[in-house]
Amino acid sequence: MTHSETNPTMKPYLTILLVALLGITTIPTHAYLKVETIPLPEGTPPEIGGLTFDPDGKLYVATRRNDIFVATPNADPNAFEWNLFASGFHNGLGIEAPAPGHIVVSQMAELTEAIDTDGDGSADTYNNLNNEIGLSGNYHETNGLCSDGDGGYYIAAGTASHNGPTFWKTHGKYSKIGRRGRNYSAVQWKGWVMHFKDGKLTPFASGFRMHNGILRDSKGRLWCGDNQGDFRATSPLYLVEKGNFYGHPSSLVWDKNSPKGKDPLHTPQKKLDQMRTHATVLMPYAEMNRSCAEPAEIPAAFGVFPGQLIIADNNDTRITRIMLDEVGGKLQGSCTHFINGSGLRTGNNRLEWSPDGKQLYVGQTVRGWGKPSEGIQRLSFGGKTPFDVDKLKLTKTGFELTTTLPVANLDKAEISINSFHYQDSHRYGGGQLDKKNIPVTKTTNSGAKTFTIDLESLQAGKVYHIAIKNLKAKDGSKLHNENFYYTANRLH
Amino acid sequence: MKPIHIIITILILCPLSQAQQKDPAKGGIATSSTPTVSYDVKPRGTVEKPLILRTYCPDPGVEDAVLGNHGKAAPTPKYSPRSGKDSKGIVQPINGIPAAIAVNHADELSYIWDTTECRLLYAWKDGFLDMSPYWGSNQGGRKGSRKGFGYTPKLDGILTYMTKGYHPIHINGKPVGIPSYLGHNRKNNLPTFRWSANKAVISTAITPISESDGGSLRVEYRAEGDASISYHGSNDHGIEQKAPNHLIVTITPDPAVAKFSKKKEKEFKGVTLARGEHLFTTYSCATCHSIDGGKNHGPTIKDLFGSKRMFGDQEITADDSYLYESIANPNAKIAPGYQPNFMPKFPMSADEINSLILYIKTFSKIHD
Ligand code: HEC
Repeated sequence: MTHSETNPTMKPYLTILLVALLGITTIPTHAYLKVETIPLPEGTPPEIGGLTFDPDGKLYVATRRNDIFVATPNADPNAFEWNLFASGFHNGLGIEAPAPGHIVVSQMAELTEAIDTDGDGSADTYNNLNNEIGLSGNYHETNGLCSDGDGGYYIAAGTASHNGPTFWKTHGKYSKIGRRGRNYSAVQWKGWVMHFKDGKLTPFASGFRMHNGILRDSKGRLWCGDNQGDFRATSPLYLVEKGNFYGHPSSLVWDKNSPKGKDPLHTPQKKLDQMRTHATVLMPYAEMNRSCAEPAEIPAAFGVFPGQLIIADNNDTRITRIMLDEVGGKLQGSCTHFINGSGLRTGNNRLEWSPDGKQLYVGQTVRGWGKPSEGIQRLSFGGKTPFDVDKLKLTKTGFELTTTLPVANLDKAEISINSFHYQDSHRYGGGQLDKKNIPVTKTTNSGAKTFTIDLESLQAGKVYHIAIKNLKAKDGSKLHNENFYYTANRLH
Repeated sequence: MKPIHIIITILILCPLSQAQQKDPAKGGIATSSTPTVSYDVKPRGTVEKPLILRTYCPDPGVEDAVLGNHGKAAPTPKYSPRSGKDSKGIVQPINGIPAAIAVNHADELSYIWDTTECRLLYAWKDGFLDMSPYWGSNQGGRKGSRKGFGYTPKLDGILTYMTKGYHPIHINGKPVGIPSYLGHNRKNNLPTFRWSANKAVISTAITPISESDGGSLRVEYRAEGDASISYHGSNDHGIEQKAPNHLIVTITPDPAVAKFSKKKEKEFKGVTLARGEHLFTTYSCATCHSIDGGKNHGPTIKDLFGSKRMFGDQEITADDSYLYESIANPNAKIAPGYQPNFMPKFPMSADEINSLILYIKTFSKIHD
């Protein structure tokens, strides 16, 4: 967290110096990822709620306090000419731009469309697209947004926090039952993903806690993370599918199929475990992702890890990379760091690719928690592919790993595997339970860039921590990430 | 304070937004610039170009009849995330308007227009909103620490008008019932709100009356098409029916309302348990510290007093002086397992900190 005010342009020199001094051959992250900081207009608190590009390539930035700025991206991070495009947004935490001069913003009280109809560069017509998602007055009830690819939108409506009250008068109907609990759903659709299309809002999936950010990927799949807390032992990544329930009970008060008048908090944990859809990938809290924010998909044009998902950590200087795997027709997979430090600030909240797919814009905000860490940073590929694990797949007997560069020295003794599992409960977060070392029986080079790890045993429902030490590529580079966490919901 | 110090202080405190908002009347350049918000927790618009701010809004006591389309919250039992059950105590809802739009025309006029009720709720002058409880304080440097754990902004200024009763507009002779907010248009950043009820579309535009001492306003209603509208407000003045679908209401400050806004906050003196409890709530310490042993962003205060913790190889007992230092200077010692810079430094007097310590002690079996 103390990195937040570091000038990132200072970092490469420091890294080069360290490399020179210690003779380390790991590629410094700047050769892999370049991090630039883009200032907003002087005097504007850069608390970034959302970022988006319109079809003309203009970048719109929603600040959490009220204003939406627009600029044409510039190669020089300090040369963005910002103009106020629209104002009057309460925690606008989702933004899309379906057309030039036309934005759609999910703010606390409504889904709002703001249009510049006279072409003077600022919005003059503000339409309430929908305000059927209630608002209790609780500070935590923020809404994430993504396009459905067909003129509609998905909205991720976060629950309220028991650390804050509701107002006496709420927007939308109030549920006394829904108000109970740690993270609660006192008004409609908190803890849901909703679909808005053709003027109509329909429930899509339930059981979320704080799914801060939502993505529709290039295959049309819907993804969101969630935050560790009650009914979330650690940070999950979910594949969001219609009608599914994702484990946090409070949202169920608004489910028309739930028994009326029954408090969903009284559902036994065993029952919840049966009802819920598992996380596709579980990200260990301290090691990988403390506070999941928006997911994104790496475009082919970026230069490395095409098609993989990444997900921002709002509470550390890192972004998590996801490697999906398909087992028994279902997706599961593993995670490691996409970037960890290297000039990236903490507060990572929103991820948006430039239209050419070459740059990742990161919107940051931390306010009230710790030291403010905020603003816009831009990541681009530095040109040097790191020696890293590119694919991680479960086999019948262990794992198969594909690296980005040919491997020089595979050594069984340098690979250690632990398994553990998580148990969600009403308590806040949860530990890594039943942690066990699983002996590696064999490692095999099955191709220049592929090797397999065979284990003494495999068990469904476990997270496997794969730690690899001293692995080198043929060109001498050290492995960029040495820790991987595979969520084995199913076995082959 | 010596005069020179006062000048420096004023320079430092001079809110950025005002320096930026080149007021055309004062010979600034950008007459077209729309007000923006800055680090200043008291954002402002200009008379000509109001600031339109969407935020949770204070509720200075708007009567129930006005808020009939809102949901009605109720006190709820305190919940212990640790046990997963209700615990002792009740959480009361607080006053606030969730989905309104706050508009400020500098000192001339501020008002709240509500998107749930589709009507003007109240108006005030000589200030706007103090956002510090909600946005976090701007203390600790120009950009501010932005720590603050309130839930609504504070009303800053003198209340001049509070609406009463059911929606004042009748459409084709019928009361409004359940209105829907459609949106608003802006010209020169002046909003015209659009809403519908009884199958008619109505627009409402609110403007300050500048010839007045401040606080007077004009509310102009128009109905689209051949709908007719009439006005039935109970405490308003100057109703002009221009046409069946067009009317203008003029509102002048109501002194009875102004008195209401000056209600003083309760004041505490010395070191008392009540003061500690009050501060614990005011600064929302519970946002990070549970009182029941539950896990949170900070350590629980249950059995905190008298407990032991390790700093390096030194064992320290959480006694009075440890607690004092933890609150007065949170980064002096970081409780093991927690992150630095998380616990805010609150601007508090010694009496206030000692009152908090008294309160914290009530959660331990050991008291001295
Ligand atoms: C934003 C979260 C946050 C808020 C709000 C907060 N604290 Fe803390 N507090 C922490 C964290 C994190 C720690 C542990 C790290 C440290 O020692 O600074 C802590 C530590 C403490 C400690 C030392 C506890 C121990 O076990 O050693 C005390 C006492 C304390 N806080 C009191 C308060 C009081 C009183 C308030 C309200 C006036 C308050 N805190 C508000 C986060 C917070």
